[in-house]
Amino acid sequence: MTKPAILDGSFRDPAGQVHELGGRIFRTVTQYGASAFSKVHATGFLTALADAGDLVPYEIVHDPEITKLFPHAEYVLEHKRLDYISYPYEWPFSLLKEAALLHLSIAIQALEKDIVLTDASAYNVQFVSSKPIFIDHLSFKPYTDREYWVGHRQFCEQFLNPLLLRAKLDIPHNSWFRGAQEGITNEDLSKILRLRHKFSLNILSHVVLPARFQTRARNTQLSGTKKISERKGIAKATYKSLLVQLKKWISTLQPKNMNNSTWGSYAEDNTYDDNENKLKAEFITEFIQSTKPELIYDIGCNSGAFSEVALKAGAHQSIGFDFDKIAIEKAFKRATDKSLNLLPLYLDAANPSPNQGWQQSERVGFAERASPDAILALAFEHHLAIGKNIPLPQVINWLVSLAPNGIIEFVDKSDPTVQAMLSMREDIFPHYTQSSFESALSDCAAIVKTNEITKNGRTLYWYKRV
Amino acid sequence: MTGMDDESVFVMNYSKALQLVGFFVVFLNTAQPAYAYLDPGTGSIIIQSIIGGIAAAATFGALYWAKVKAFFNRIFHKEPNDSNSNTK
Repeated sequence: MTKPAILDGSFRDPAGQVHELGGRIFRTVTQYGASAFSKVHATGFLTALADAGDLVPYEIVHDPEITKLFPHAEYVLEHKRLDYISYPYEWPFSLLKEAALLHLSIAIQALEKDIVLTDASAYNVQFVSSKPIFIDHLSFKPYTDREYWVGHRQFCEQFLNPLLLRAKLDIPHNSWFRGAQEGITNEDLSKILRLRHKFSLNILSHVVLPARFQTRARNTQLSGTKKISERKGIAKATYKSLLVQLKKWISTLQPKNMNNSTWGSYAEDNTYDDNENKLKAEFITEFIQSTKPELIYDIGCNSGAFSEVALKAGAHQSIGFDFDKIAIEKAFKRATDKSLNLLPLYLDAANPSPNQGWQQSERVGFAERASPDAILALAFEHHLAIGKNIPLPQVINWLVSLAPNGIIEFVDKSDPTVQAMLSMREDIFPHYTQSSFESALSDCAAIVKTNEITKNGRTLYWYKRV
Repeated sequence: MTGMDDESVFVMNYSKALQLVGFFVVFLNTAQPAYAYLDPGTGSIIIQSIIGGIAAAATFGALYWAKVKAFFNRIFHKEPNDSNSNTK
């Protein structure tokens, strides 16, 4: 066998790394991490978490063919490959909140078993459909008497503060978090919170005061501040109450101003009448039953209605993408209410997630992340072609490059939505026509089937890449 | 040129080196195995100490208050209830 590759993004932890080998995922445990892992593993706590669906199930590998490939590892674990990896800067508010609650719930259960988490990275949570699952088996260690909650600051930066940004100030966390990979610092958030927010005891104790102390410590660097080893620590009851209190608080956080959004009222909006939706659903059903995709991307998924159609027609999993913060919340609600294998994520298609982080390979970009078997791009292309001035052939090329099969809806210039987009600007799109759409699509794919679904010329195109 | 003579450059480098050594001494002292992986941040540790302190004070206060209640209960010849029985 070839030398197993260390997956980028798993190099920071001295306790072990993740490797990929022939499509299988292995986690090595180093000498540094072995003692903590073996103690925690022996308690049965990790197995119980995995059985509850909160931790990716794992097995200790004994096969010498495998273990000899990792001569320095004390243990080799194997676990199932996750279907799709997503990052906190792509999650809607609700997914980040679910991830935060899972982290705290695991930390509370662990503490009851005298186990603590060594960090609080949001990247240690992934989603299977819309349910969060913890992925790092080496984030656990036995509790030592009177130790601090070491992950507190990281928890605030990667979970709490991004949630507060939206809950208190109605700013989605996504762009900021994508720019600052480690999350939003207490000091930054503190500066933009209003005075009235700072009267909250929770905000005072988890954001404002830590920020104040942090700044003061930095200004008196290396002199005044007592080292962690000289401090007497906190009681276990205090540790637990920090976790419990935060969990209680976070479960009450909601996005501020849920109605103020472009597409929020999609489902009720009547530029889409029922007959149109019915025709779309029939077309999608036929497409899915014929092409039998496992993974689909629903680009511009809105509230996820057509993902639902595709999943019911037999697609295994849908990743829904939208740039509207309310739409992806609605898609999340649909996914959880109806137990759909649908993961709604934030995407600005004109600026998708890049390869980034250390050496630009720590976090994988949108294009390289996965290879969907099919895409749905309904009522989408005009947002790029008209809304962002991207030439129509480029939009079509990009969509076709994502998957070998798909449905793209063409929205004609006479459509009310496009008319609204053009109402405040000059029409600089003389080449935005159905015939140029068709010819661009024919250049990179075969058109299997079309269906005109409105009298304004909205038309569905089923393509097969050539 | 910056207008510095050779000696002042040397002095600067020397003091920088001292600072660096000082930094590593402090760093090594601080690096306890249990905390080595993640920097918990001074702000977070201070607030946890304060919350811990308040919690301890509250617990102490509650115990003290129970003692005060038990004292008055004794004065007024009332039987302390079960939850206070350990303060008899």
